[in-house]
Amino acid sequence: MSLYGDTSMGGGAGFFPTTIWGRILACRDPESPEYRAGLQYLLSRYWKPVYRYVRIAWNKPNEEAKDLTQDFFAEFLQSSKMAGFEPQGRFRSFLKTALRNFLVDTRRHEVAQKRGRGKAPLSLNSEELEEPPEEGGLTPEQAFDQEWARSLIGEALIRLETQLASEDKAVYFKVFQEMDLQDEDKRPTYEELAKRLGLSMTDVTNFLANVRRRLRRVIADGIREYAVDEEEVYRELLELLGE
Amino acid sequence: MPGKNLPYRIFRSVKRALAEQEGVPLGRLAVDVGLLTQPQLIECLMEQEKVRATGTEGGSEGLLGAIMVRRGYLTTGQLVELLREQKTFRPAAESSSKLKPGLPGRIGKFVLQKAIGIGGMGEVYLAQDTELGRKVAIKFLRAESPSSLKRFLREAKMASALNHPAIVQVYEIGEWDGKPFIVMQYVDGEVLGNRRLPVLEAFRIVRKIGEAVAHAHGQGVIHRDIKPRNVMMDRQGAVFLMDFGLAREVDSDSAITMGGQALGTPQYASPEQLRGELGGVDERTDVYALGASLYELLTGVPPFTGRTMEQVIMRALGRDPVPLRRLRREVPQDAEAICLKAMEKEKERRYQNARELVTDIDRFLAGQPTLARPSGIWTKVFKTVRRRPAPYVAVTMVLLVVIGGAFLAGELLHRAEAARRREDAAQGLSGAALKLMEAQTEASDPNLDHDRYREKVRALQQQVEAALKVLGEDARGYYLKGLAHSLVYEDDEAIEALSKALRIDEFHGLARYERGRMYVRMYVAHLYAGRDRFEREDRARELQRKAVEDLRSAMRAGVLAQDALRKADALVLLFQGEKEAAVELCSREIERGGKMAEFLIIRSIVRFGEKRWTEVKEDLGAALRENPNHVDALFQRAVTRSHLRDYEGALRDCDQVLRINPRHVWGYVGRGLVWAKLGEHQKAVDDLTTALKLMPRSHFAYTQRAFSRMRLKDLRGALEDCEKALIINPSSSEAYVNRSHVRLEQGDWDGAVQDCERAIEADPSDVQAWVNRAALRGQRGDLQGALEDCGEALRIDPDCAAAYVNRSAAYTELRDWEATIKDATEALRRDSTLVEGWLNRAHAFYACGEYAKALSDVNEALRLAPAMESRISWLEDLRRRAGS
Repeated sequence: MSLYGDTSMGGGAGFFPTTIWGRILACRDPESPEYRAGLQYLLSRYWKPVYRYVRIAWNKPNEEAKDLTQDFFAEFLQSSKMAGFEPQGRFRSFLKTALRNFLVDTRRHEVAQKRGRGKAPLSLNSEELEEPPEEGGLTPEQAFDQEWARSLIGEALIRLETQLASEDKAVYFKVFQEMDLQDEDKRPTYEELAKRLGLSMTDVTNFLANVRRRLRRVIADGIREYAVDEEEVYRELLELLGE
Repeated sequence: MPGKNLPYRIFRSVKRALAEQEGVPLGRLAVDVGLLTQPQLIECLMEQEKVRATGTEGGSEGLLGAIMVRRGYLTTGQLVELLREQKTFRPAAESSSKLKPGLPGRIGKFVLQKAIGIGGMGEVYLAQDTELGRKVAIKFLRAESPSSLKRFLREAKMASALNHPAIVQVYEIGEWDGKPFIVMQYVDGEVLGNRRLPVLEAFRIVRKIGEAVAHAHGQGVIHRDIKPRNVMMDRQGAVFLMDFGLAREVDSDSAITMGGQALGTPQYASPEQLRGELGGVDERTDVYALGASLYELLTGVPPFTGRTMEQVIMRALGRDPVPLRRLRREVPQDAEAICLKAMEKEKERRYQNARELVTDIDRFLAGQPTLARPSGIWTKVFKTVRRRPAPYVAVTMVLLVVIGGAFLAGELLHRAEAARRREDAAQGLSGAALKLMEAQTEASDPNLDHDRYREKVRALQQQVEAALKVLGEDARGYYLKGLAHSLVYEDDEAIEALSKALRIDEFHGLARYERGRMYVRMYVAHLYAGRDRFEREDRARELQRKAVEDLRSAMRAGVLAQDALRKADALVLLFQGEKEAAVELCSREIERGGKMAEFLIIRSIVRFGEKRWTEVKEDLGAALRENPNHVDALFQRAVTRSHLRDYEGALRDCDQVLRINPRHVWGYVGRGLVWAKLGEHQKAVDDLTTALKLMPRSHFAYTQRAFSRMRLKDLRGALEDCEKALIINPSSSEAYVNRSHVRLEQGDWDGAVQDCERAIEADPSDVQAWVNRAALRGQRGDLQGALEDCGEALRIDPDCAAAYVNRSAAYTELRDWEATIKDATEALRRDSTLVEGWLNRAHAFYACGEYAKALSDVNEALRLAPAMESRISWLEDLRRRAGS
């Protein structure tokens, strides 16, 4: 059983018509069903960022970090703390602040109280917790943001592939996959790829540019689900595409 | 299938491809170098998306760059520069953002975050000290040879002993896996390489570094590798000398630098270093490098360049640098002389230590004669002869024979005289420039004697004008003239001089900035004086447009200091209607602390428009604590206080405004209005008359004077003023309103109504026009019309006390006592000096039989206006009834 539904994003999920975060902000009543449903949906997309934050900030082993992540979400939704929380501004900053506070509180109580308060754990495949390559040096916040970017892009890729397939443009995606979703040393030249797929060189470059642009739009749509306004979409995008 | 568990490598590769397609790296670079702000970049990205969606420029790469140029954020030249920069630095940026393999993510309490540079001796990383919660820089030793190890540790030891605000502080020395490292202060800023700075800014920096070096010398430490790339500037403009990587204790005869390595960086290294005379290195070696750094900060290039290291070294040993003033004309001669004296090839001829150099810079900055006199032609010849004796002696001899001819000598003398006069004039200009800068700083001194200050600035202005007579068309001269005018608030003269400077040199960034600020100042004065109505006028839009244009080109010229840039940015945002963004930027700056008066003022302009008077007053108060002589802020506060009905405070502020600038037209107008509010109409007329002498075409001042004249029963004068106001501005609703007052006083009821109607036509949001027509209609028994007009007035301004009074009067006529009492009370709550309000309510109470209340209201009214007594027909009766 799972509190928050599957952590996998799945393809073809319908988009929310307006921004969820905007609606959460507008309703402001932590007890209302709309607030909880919206928050639950958003939280479901932040499992991994939160998990990595916890691991790095606390240097916790895998299992314990999983538990803490779990606790955090449960508390986030159930605790009366949320009532006093004035959600303002960006969802991501909001979540990070809540996470910081949660960790400080937990650390305080940890000594006094044994954890494991009988909460239903999320069902997680071990492959979902695959470790990032050791590159060190990321702060918890950076790891959080990196994970956020990775899941947004990953999810957008799934959506885009489905979209293109339904438009009979699978070959577009193929070109993109061979060029951009490939380790650098395995990447073909435009010429090789054109030959392999029976396309002209201009087709290859056009398709590639087309898919990249659409991918960018799908990512932006993903951000729109929680962005307060269009400017925030671009601010987030800028951050996401930055180093 | 890629998807939710996108591998990290591929994630990065997709991200990079997308970023490049969107032009993000270019945009970020533009933001990093300060050509545009992040909000502006976001604007550009949004526009790019729009353009692409329409499909017209769908596939074009570099679209973002084109948009940035189209929007006026960059010139084409700057775009080309950026693209070149991006090509050059991209690989470096990519590799440096990762940590080197083999380094840990964490050492003890330090979490390593990213590589931030590679110094002469090792790699530097940004890290977080998790215990103290601060950012630090950690430098690892690159070469592991025993000698460099020794040197590294020595550096650390010496540098940790140095404690000076302009030297990067060393916190700790440690070792990780056999690699030693130093933990030091992290400076969030950038190095100063390859940059040309404003002359005074360059001197300010070299002076600061010179002090740091003098301190190090005092501790027996010589830096040996001073160069702009070893100087960091943080966001507040503080500078830090770093990398004592080659330093060596003065008294120790240590061997660690004797390995025959090339020490120092050739472009800045002294001849004794370049010749490998390691024993000959002393304090004066650092003096040379300070001079070379100054040269680069002034010209944008190092004193000696070449295609190969050998070439650089040969030139540095055998030649003089390209004359500084050939690369940058406006550098004063004294400034050049200081730089050259520091860079003398022979140690004995340089400043003998850093302290001496600092002192000479101070003399220069104070406009006093310096130790380093400009070297005359003979010194140059002599120097050359000394260096390469034989051929030059011969040439000089021949020259002397040739100029022996008397005729030629006369001509030469004449030319020399003219040249000398120009030279003197240029010197005079430089002296005035520095004094004007001083005067600018002095302007915020709380104990400033304003009269003497004005005299001083006028004298400087005359000095500039005298120099301009000799120099003719000189952009810098006109800029300085404009600056002087602006310091004594002669706005029109300032704009004229600055415009002249810009006609001579349209890229004079400082003149642009100053002129932009003048437009802002004029706009603000109008805005505050003319209240919200001004914003809708063409004049307001024109001033906004001009200010934005000037500030933008000033920002692009690259001569503005960081805080000036941010100020200009905030103003541009404000004037483009992006008020929220402007407030956000200002609030950020204010939180940051430091000099924030200008940001407080910009924020208060926005809040003034939102009628948030109390906040405006607080912001301005804070700004005035920083600079008690800020005329604009004082004037703005006077107006704000008058909105808050703090008339005494407003008077004090106006008085102060006029003490600082006796020609402040709006100060007189404002004080006149306050006097009128206090019922002192003669004083109001006097002030407005003074204002009109200074600004004869102000319909606003005429209109206001008309009002006070009317109150003084000078009906002819009042009518005349209204007519004048209407000649100047035929659509001034206020002038019509006031004329309607006058006409009514003259018994011309129809004329009065007509004027109210004209006023409403000219500006349907003029509350006063509605209120007055209501009164007029009420007088003639059109009570329904009066009620409607009052309703309209209250719809426009729900806080309008006069509308409540008039409505209460209408209700009195209608015998609706309850409504009368309610409206009169509303009116008195807003303005307890309204005699009619007290009377109307008293009348209602009287009619309702509440005699005690009625009597108390009447007494209040009579206290305010004793003459009314004879006009209250029911007073006798009331007194009798209340008495019994």
